[in-house]
Amino acid sequence: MTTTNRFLLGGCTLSLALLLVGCGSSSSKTETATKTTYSISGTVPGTLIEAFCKSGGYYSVNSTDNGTGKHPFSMTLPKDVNCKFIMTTNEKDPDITKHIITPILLNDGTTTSSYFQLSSDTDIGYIELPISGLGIQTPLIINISDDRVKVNLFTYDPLDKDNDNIPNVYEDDDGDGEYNKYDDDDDGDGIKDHDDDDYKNDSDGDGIDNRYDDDDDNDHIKDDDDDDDDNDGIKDRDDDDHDDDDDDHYNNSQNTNITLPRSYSVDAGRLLGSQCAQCHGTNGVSVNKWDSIAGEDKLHEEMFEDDEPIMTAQARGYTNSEISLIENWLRTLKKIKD
Amino acid sequence: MKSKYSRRDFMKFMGLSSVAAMAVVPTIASGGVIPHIVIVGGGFSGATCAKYLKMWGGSSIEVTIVETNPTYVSPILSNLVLNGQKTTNNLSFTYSKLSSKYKINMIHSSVESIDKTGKTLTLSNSRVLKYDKLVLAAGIDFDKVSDYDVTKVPHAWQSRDGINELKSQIETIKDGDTFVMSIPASPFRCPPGPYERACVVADYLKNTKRYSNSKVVVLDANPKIIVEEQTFSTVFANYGVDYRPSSVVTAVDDTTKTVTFMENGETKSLTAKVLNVIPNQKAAPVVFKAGVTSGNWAPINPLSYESVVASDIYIIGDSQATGQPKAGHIGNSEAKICADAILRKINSKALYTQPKTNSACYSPTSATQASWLTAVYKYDPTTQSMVVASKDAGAPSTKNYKKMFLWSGNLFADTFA
Repeated sequence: MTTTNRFLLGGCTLSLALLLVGCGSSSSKTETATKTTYSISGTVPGTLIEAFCKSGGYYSVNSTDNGTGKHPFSMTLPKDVNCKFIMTTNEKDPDITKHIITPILLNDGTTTSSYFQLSSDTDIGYIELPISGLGIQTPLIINISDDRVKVNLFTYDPLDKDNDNIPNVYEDDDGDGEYNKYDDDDDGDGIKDHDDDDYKNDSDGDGIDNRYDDDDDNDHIKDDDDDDDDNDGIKDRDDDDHDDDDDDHYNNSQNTNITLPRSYSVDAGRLLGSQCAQCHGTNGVSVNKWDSIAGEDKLHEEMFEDDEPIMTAQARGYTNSEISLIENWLRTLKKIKD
Repeated sequence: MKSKYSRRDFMKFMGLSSVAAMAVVPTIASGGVIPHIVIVGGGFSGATCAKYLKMWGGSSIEVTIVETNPTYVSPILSNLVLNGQKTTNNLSFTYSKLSSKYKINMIHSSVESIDKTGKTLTLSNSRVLKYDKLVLAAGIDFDKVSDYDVTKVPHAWQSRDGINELKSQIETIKDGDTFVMSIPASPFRCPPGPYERACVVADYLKNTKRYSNSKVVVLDANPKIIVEEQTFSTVFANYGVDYRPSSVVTAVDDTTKTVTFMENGETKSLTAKVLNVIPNQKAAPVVFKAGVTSGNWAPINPLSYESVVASDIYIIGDSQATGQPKAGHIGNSEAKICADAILRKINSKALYTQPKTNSACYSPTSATQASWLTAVYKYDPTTQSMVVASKDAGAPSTKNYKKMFLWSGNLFADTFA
């Protein structure tokens, strides 16, 4: 049996740059509203730190040997995305069976879960990972009292289908002694993964279908920036089995970076105004030459203009106070140039 | 590299870790547990509900769509496949934006069973999915009059294959051949749709194919044209469409393409070159599986779309039993009321008591003209139902034909992008 490593473990430019952030010292970066990533840092015994995120994103760094027992690490993760850590000590041993692999759970006092979400740069201190033993270890629970790290428990976890806290990539589905991650035939059906339909749908075996995976091959490079999504050495444009994620009718740059809220708030004007979107676009932004209504401040007049009978028919169905509620909401939205 | 540890050792590690983890993880944690909303069906209502749940609820909730097909083919505009102005590829949408922009989980599978007490779904891939709120947005199912082969007599009212099959059959029509279609008893998906189809096919045969002797026959189970009567009766007269109201299909022969029907109490039959029988309709199979139907449809509270017979199960789109039309545009509309109501419920807020929905449809009546129909619906607290607040219709024109694509463009984007 040959083992192929699907992942480029550690050593990428991303992780090298991040190590310079240092460890134990508080971050001096100032937060801005536009910040899309935050760093999480700490110290560990000599370790490979991997983060698996719910959108299929994959990140890894190796801690830095500073000559002490506590090696610093720092990793940058996207905000608003839930990620989980797997930490591996003795990771440099070429014999994978000697790796000591520890899933990490976080406990914030009320919730214990593998998933966390960053709202700022944070340092979680020393993580006392096991340095003896073999293979997958009992998950290590880290107590955390830090508002910057939100611990979230999900009833549905695509990255861990059997909910045993061992991510799919560190399972051994066919029981041949190799983790799926290193196994070139995960399901033991005799068909090499690269020729297997199962693999084509989920190249990195993380449980997220390639169509929806931010990083199909877990090589740290987001598919949007990666010219070889499945990491088979064939550039996407020449690769028959490459199914680009961006295959719909909509321009990828159009309105892609939306900020999802952290909580729900009641807004009757928004609820009523959402009923305009079927014709005028989501949040009042039309995708074609029909009017955008975001930022509209003369709604009472606009709705009853005679030039569009279908609009007049709709307008007659709303009361003045409803139109005012809708207008108040539309005023909060950025006006689109006609 | 040879593996150096045994299967048994591996299982030992796994077993130990699983047990240990389960022992220390609190069973129900407060605050940090993210409510999981599972939506079955990724059409106009299901996709919109998922998008708006995340747009308004963000990271406070987790949303998963369970949908069999990786690509959705819009029935809206699909009659234009029949005259060659669109292909099903032009009308196809993926779920990549819902996944990447709105962080919605996609599972391409179907539902085997629903456990309402345990609040779990078992999928056809044997996976069990826990839900806090379940939204059924699964469209329709058909009541065929007899056991005939729908690949030979397609209804073309639901899928890519059906519409493409009907298109290829229409291409076999020669001058002098007959196209016979039937319209189901109301309610059915897209009320103007069958009338629109008759117009588009008649126009195609007459003006594109230049057939002067081909005939289009419409057997309508309803006593009259149920929507845009003025528009469709005028166009039927122009094209010489043989419109036969109160004609109820009783049998279909898929080999001879013969349809038997009752017209005003009399049994008759017609043989066609191409036969397009659109059967009577009912709620989708998964809605029956959930046990939330009364008769053919699922009764719901119009303030939330929650089932009146089972809590935490919501039914939106074509399967629900309000008198609102069954169509993509209003499915999108209902989905927003439902998404907001679910978020209010999760956040212990009172439901909005005066919801408004709307329907709108541009119908092509030829390769260059379209008509329109629209209505606003409001909640009537006395009858606890949705009633018409305003409505209107517009006659076919070339201007409306162009506007049809502006309407559908924004509707498609509001649903899938």
